Amino acid sequence: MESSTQQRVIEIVLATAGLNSATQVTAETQLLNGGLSLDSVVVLELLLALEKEFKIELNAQELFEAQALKTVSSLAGFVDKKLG
Amino acid sequence: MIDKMLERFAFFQPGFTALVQGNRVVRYGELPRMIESLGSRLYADGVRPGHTIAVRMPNSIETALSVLAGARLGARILMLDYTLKPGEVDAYRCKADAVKILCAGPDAENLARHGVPAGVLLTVDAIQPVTAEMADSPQAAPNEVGPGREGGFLLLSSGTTGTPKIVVRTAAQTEAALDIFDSTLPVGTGDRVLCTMPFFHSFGLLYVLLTSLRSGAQLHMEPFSPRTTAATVERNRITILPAAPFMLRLMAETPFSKRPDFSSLRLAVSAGSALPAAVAAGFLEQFGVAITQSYGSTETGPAAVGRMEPGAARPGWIGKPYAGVVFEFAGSGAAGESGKQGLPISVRSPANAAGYLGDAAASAGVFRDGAVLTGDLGYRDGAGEIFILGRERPMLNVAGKKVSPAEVEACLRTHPQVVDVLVQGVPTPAGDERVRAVLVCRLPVTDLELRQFCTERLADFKAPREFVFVDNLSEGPLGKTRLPPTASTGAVRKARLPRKSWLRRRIELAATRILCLPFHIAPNSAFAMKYADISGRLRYRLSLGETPESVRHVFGDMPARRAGEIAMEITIQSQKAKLLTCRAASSGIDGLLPLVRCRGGERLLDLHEKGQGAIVIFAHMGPRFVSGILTAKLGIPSLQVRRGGVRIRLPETMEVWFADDSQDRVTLFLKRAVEYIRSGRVVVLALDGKQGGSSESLTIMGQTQHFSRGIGLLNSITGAPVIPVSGYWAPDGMIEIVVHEPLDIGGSANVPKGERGSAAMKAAVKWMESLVRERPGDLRSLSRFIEGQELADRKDV
Repeated sequence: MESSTQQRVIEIVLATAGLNSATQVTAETQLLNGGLSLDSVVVLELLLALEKEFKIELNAQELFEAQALKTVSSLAGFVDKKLG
Repeated sequence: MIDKMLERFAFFQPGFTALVQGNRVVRYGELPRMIESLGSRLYADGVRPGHTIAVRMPNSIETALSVLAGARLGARILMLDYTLKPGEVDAYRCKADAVKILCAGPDAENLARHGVPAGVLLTVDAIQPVTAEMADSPQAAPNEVGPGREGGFLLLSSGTTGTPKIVVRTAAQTEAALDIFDSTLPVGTGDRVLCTMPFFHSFGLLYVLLTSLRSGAQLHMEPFSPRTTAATVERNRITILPAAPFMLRLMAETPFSKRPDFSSLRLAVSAGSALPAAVAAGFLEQFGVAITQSYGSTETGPAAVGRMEPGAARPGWIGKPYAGVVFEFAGSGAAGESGKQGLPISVRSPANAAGYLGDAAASAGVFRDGAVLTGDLGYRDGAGEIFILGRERPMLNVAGKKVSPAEVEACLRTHPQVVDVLVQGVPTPAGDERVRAVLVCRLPVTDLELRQFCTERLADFKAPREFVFVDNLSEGPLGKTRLPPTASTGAVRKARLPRKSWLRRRIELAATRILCLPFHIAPNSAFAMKYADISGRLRYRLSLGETPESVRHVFGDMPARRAGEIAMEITIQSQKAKLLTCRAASSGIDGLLPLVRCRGGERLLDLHEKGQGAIVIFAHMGPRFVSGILTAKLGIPSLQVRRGGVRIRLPETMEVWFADDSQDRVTLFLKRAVEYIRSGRVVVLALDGKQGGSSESLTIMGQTQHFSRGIGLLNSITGAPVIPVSGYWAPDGMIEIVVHEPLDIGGSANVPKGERGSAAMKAAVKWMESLVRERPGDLRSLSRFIEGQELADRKDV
């Protein structure tokens, strides 16, 4: 069962990465190597989009250290933590 | 170069900080020994003056030292993008004949695992300051390198033919680039430079690393991230921030709870791609600093520079040439002031590179008579300011990195399911592009599969972010626009009506990400027309008073929020259009000129200058507007507009017809077109979306044709090339008019057989019979008749 944060994160990932279909991205889809292979520019754009959507502050280094960019699920979890 | 740098280092206070990375600090007093130490290690590993070594690391103390140590040893240094895949790295290594690849430990393991010979990999990790005793070790390199024996640099540049190129930059050319930067954007010992631009990028290497170090500045190295970078500027009182436009845009858009203190920042330099005025304005508003834009390329080094002062943004403006650099515009002499049309730009500079490594043919095409043909089109105004209007070479710019569409296409063609592919750039708000692939596939393939396929073989930034699946790449009047006109013949023959499902996909795509730019910049004008049509329909619905909710059914199951955003976007675009109309009413075409730029206009100029006839066709734009813009931008004699009529006459050059009230207008147009074209005039056909034609269809002789077929028919009947023109709102708020490649299938000789029996063709033949009474017959005979007339005309001349 996908949380509402997760669903919103998926939508933002799709929009930022310019992907065609929502059905291809799930909670376990990897964002970097072996999955969507988002490059660094897209990752930065993704963070900005998430900041605007959830009204939070994100730092790329912080996300890498927390391995939050591994999957959609881990990213959504990180956002949830930020939301408190 | 390196000797002079080392001499300078000796003058700086030994305690001055040179390099900062996290908690690590290297001082100028320590630099020479550290360079000598690493040079000794390279020497012990077999590197000799004249050898090539590759450096593949993110910005770090080790990267800086590797560059300096390699130069000190007299080696030629190949700067590799650390995001390249192992296969790409090995290909460059082989091409440059590099004896060593200097990289970080984990990267060396990764490269070795993927087939790069372990013997060439040299790990450079955590170099420590060197003591005097260590420097005296017997391993030290003999001082073989004298003046003029330095190896210089090899920098990557994406090619237009699918094979990326390596630019050769000698030590003297490198030093010349540093001198040029020093004269205009000087760096001093008190400066603190934040290195967000990678050192493998020519601006990152020449300005950020070498010019700064040579000047005794502090270099702070850390990966870019809007918040981290802003915090570093504030905390370390950074004075110079060089960055790519996408970085500056992200910083400008980041919602800071407290405005960062950028009072120390005296210079924010944008390089790598064109800086949109909106980004400069956003950055100024967010941080209170006006951005300086540096224009140049790997081939030219620094070329032009200008500071984007508040309210002074002008479309395409890049400033004035750096000291010692000369801009030349083909066909206009050195002045380059022949009107505001885009002319091919050459740059003459002591910093110009020497050529492409092992590619004499490509070098000959770019490095000519001591100048570099940049591939950009532009002009110089009376005040000596340079303006760029577009590019003549198909090259994409992704966050400052160049991507060759041909290279990506070549990769995708190796996928077993891919039949054909066209790679394009989609403009982003940062002024660069993202990569899109339009594909024809045998069996269904997901975009994720294709993206993974690409990222396994190419650097991630080269892999398309968007995949569009079509049944036939030739679903448009131009087919593959990068092919010469004659090669697009087949594309026109194969053109057929798209299926509903295809159209549906287009609508969805347009709805999700294109509608913010109603006329899409896609080089294939079929797509441009298609988007224009979709956005036109939606705007029309909204203008009738429909609400975003009622428009929503167009998008099927799209979330209401997204549909609402799209509707809002369309409303904004409509408001912009209204503002434009008001402005035009109050100040005429001249008032609009600052808001408009034109790409590909040289195609029309070329025809005009050669006295060749052609049909220019466009839809969804007012004919007075477009023809006025083309006239003003291209310097063709001014318009005479007959109010209340349907015809706009351009004396001696153009005849504009606006099919606004009757489908017969197109027929009338054709009658007059043949006469005008035969007299060497360019003829413009403007189509209204509701009547004479649209991006979906074109009515000729009372018969409605699919647009691409209609254009083919126009071409066949008149024997003249047809030039589609599209327009759109660019992300920077400008209106961009794009004149596409002419379509010429060779006149009636190439009319598809299936067309001959069609009602349209029969009607055309009937009309031709009445028009050419003395030579009745089919289109083939008409073509021969026109050709005969042309020959006769030439004899008369």
